[in-house]
Amino acid sequence: MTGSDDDPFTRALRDDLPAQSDEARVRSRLVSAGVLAGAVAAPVGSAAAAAGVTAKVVALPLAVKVGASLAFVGLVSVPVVSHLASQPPSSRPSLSATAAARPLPVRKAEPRHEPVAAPLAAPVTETEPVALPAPAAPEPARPSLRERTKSSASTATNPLPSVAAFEDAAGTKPLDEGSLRAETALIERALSALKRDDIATARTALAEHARRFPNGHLVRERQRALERTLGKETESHAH
Amino acid sequence: MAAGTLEQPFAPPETGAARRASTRVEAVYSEYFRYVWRCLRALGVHPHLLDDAVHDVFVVVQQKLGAFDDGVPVTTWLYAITLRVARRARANARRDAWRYANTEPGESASSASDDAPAPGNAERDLECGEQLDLARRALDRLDEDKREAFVLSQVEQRSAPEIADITGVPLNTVYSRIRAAKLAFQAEVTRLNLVNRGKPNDR
Repeated sequence: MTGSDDDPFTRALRDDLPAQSDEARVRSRLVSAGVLAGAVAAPVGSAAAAAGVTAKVVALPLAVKVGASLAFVGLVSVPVVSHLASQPPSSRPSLSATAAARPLPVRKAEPRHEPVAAPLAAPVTETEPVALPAPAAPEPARPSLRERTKSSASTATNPLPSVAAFEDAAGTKPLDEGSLRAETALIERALSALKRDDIATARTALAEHARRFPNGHLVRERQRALERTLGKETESHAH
Repeated sequence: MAAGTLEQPFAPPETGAARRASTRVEAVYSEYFRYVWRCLRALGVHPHLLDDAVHDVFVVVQQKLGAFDDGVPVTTWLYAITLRVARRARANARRDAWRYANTEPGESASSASDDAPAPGNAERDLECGEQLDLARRALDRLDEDKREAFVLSQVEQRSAPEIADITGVPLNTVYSRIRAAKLAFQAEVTRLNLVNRGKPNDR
């Protein structure tokens, strides 16, 4: 008798089902844990309805599914396009530039510590693609731009300016107007040569400055001009 | 309806696969929550740990649903998970027994508080409540193997081959456990009835 289907004790155990509040409480916990979908306030039957909808969608013909997928892709693309449109124009290339550019434009290889404003520098397009220098002649492998920058600069073992350089620029070193004028002339000659893409003249002027004023007032300007020279040299080799 | 379904694909943290998995877990939850809850309760999970145990079951369901073998009935798979979660919960309760020293193992926290009886059925509910309480106490006195066999066969009404799949023990062992569990449960119920009759004021 006991343990059979007619047993009231077994039946009591079988009828011991949870209340709605138990179900809702556990459901909210599972929703918080991300196990269930976020329809917290949905009634109990909504999940079954969702499952039914899923089953109906699965049973749809292939053509309908493809159409629905295309519609979904179209809906997804709308916020992407609107997101692009909301960006400031300076941060994105124009349509013509985009069409003309290569698939993956890369930022021009310039040192990151360079100041934003370069008074005598030629304008540089940030999205301009830079190709790696191809070894055209059987010359030995060229070192990278960064390596050459480091090795060529006379005092450029450390790319960041030292404290002493700042102190010099601030005027702790006695200012010699004649030497400053000569330094300025050399640097301006190099920069104007760079504007004309006359790399040889620029290098000559910078070398002279390095020889005559190894610890001059315009060491940092020389260093930057040298980096620009090397950059242009790399570009010319690439073309 | 249409707006809801159109907005769903843009829910940021969920991919399509996660959404489908979530829908499947939702379907399993809606269909089987009551039985999982009842099974855990009958298997002796403490009322204070019941929510955690049910939660754990459906977390495992979510994790394993991708690897679920469609050839196996969902109930077998789900009861296997439930059984293991119940074992772990019981072990945790034994380990932390001092926390639940002042609570009766057979009492149901949620059912007692949330399910207010209908006005006309108070006497019947009281009788059912007494029967349920006595049945739980009888179950508490069975050893684990017998208790699992009894709950799965008599409460959840699973067949012996299915119980063999769920528990992972040989079929003949399942048959013998069910038989022994029925006898043990009957003996405990009889004994507790006698005790109650002898001490009517205890309850």
